[in-house]
Amino acid sequence: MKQGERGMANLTADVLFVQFMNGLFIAAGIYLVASGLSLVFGVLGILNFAHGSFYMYGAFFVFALIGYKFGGFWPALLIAPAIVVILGITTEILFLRPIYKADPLYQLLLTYGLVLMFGDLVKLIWGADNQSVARPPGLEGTIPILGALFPSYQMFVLLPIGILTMLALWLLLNHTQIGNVVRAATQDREMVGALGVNVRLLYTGVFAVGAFLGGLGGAVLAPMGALYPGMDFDIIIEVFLVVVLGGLGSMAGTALGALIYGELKSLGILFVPDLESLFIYVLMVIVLLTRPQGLLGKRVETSR
Amino acid sequence: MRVRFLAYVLVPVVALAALFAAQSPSAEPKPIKIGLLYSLSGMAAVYTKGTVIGHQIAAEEINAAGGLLGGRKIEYVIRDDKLKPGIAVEEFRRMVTRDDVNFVMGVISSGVALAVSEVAKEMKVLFVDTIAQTAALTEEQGHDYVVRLNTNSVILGRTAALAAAKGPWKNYYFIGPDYEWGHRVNADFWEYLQTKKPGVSKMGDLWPKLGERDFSAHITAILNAKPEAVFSSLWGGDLIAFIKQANAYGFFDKVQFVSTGAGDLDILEPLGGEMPNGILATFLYTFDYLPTKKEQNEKFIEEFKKRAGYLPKSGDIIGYVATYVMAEAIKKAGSTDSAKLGAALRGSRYETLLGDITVRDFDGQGTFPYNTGVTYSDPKYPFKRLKDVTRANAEDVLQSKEEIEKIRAEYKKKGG
Repeated sequence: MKQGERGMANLTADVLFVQFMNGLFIAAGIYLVASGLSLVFGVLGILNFAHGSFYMYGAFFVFALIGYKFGGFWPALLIAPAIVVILGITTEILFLRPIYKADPLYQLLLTYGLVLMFGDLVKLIWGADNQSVARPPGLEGTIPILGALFPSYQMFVLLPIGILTMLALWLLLNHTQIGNVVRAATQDREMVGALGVNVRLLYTGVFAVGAFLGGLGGAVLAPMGALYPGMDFDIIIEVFLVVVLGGLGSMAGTALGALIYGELKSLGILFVPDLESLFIYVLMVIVLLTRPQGLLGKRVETSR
Repeated sequence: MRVRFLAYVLVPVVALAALFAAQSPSAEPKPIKIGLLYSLSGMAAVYTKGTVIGHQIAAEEINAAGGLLGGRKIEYVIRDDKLKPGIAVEEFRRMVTRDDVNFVMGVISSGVALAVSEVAKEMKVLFVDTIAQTAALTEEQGHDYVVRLNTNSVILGRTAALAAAKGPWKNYYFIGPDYEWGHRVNADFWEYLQTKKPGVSKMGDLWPKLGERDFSAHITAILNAKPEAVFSSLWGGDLIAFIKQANAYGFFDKVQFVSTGAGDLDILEPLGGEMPNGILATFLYTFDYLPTKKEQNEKFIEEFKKRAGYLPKSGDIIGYVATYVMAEAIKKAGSTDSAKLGAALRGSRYETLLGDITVRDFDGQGTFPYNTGVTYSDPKYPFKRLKDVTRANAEDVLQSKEEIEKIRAEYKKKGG
């Protein structure tokens, strides 16, 4: 296409660098949300549709806390995910505990029901209009790096929090006692229970961490977009895509999936502006056909 | 036995009949029943809640003033189309056959509007479109039983083009949501701009999906092409997200942004101070920009705020205006019969809160004026306002009768 050629003509190292960094920003944002979903699936075996709701509540709690003059953006960034954790624990105890042994189809239906319930609740509390959270003072503008301009907020808040979260999860899972148990649970849930680990507590704890990650993602991304009931639906498809691409339940896979997603989207716009989401879906099809468990996922044993 | 049975049955029947006979002379005249078909649940409920309130305020005012056609009151039958053409069609049929409505107003989705319009044609019941703005409804797929009391995508795109043509910008980049609406408005803008400003060129199109969250890659791709101006038909949360993220790249210092709908309150209010100054933005209605009917406008705003809790937006006032236009048409037709009403509506002029309009006789499109302005900070408001506002006369930008006939003939040839 004509536009494609023009886009190519302008391709310089500068431009590639800018789009690459943009890809990292997109990856960091989607990773924050997707990591929680992947973790919960890995340990609890539940594909939680309502994970997008935690993201939405993280964002709306930031909006509400700032509205109530609760010290501005930074305290809200800390408090909002904490409130989402309470929401997550309550959800796990009330709704998920009774259905762990049920058919996966029922679990899907239940979490989908939760999505609708949480969505209506947002409408009741905050109304159905679009809302917006302003970027924190000092981070509204751009910062020059190697001659290119980047948004300060993405550079100093989104990207560092994304990377720190990834490191923290890696340390937690690979270098702590709790992490050993959690990883063991992803391998064989029944065995962990038989070894005397309090599985109930473990499940609640992991679900709480998952909810925290979703809430944190919503809180961090809040100043970058519009807040509205339905933002949970808009992100959940991308989140599923990233998690399935990387391998359901694999934390490294989720990070890799997010990186590929962000870069393909960002660089794809340069090469084929008319069909920007082409690459990611083509890749998805190839991966699902050749490696259904995802890039870094383990083959799921189907004998139950 | 038989006699007693007859008595049991007959006595109440006769009694009831007597009761009705006694009551009917003193009863109120038959109400005028209007069907309102909107997406009242799900995503679009954001926009339709206020529209229905607008309809209701107008009906109450008209009823309080004595109703229509010798004291007949307006009564609404309100149904949810769930944003689905299939459900909308079913509800339309049910409203006509079971609820006995005289005609139907409503519909937010363009896809739903086109589907409903087909049943309206088949059942010969008037459908008055109030929100959906795809030009197809009154252009190639128009017929005698459909009219639109709102602007359409042609008015939007071409009004923006008129304003943009006055600026010095020649190289344009385009962005719009990737579905019927976005493609249509962008094409309308671009085709018209070329006729109004020779020498303009198009540098590229971007079509992010509806509900896109992250525009950083789009923003830098546009900046990389170094256009002088960018035209956008993004709306709602997408437009808000785009503006916020583009701000962080200094986007609005580098290019002139021309944006349909960015001057409407549902964008200006949530963005607050984050809306940049100097954007060329279009809008249908603002609470204080009205050359005529100041008093009625203020009364409407006050009543609307009391019920909804916020200032009326473009989509809210359209319900109010549409009911008033229909009331005028009913008076003129002296009837609620769809065919007579449709004929009376078309070709007549109406003084509305949104300006004086005509419902064009050959396509049923209302000639609602559409506005363009430039965003600026007004210390009196917590959000940006518009200055240098110009109002385009829809009659001047809409296609002529000959053009519409040509579009329809071509559509027929394609098998439509």
